[in-house]
Amino acid sequence: MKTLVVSALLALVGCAQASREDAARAPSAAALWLEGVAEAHAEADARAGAHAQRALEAARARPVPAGVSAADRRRVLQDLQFRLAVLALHADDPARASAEAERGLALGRDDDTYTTNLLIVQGRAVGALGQRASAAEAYAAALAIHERLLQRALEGTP
Amino acid sequence: MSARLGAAASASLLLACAAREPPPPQAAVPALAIDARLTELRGVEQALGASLLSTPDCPRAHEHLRALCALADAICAETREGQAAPHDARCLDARTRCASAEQRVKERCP
Repeated sequence: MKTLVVSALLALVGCAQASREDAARAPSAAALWLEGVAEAHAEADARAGAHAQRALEAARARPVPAGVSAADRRRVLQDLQFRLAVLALHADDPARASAEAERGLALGRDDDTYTTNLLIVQGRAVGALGQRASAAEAYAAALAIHERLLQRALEGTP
Repeated sequence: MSARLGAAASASLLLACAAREPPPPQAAVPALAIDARLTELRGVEQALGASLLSTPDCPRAHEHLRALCALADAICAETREGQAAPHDARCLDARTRCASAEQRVKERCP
């Protein structure tokens, strides 16, 4: 009887340990979200046009898990917005490209490539719409960021 | 890296001093003169340290320079299309900033 109880307890502990190990091995919600975004990018790389757009839009629509930092959230979503804006430009739809770029920039700005990419694609989009001054303004904002990044590179600061 | 460079520089200075021939006997130097010399040497050390601590990231600098000047071109292309006076000033400003950046990169990353 005693042996049976010990065996049962060991089995229970074993199960508990196994489930804890499984939990540790299981990818976090943040990792799964990032994986989904990466898959969407890969699909957009492989298939152009409407298919690519749908994949990227689906990735954008996924809720961002709580474990993702605000900075990472902005970068990942801005990268998606950039690609959606480029796709719209390639589809000769500068109005949609501008809207996608604007949506990305609304997530925040920082001195990084994500922001400059969006500013550049926004410049192209509004330029194609004949809004030359707005295009120059977007390019000037991107230029100012590169100027600061250049200064940091020359100073050897990250 | 900067700390290693600083240490290497100090070590080289020490080795250079050790390798030198012993100086000929001199008359006693007044304490004030020694203090002044030490201050002067610290200044040199600081200047050396500053230049060693800030090692530029030249590949990254060149990358940003290319982007900056390409954007200056894009600004000028837009202002040419728009043909409005304030935009020409923006083109001039962008070109000036590109030239200034080129100069800075040339100085730090020859």
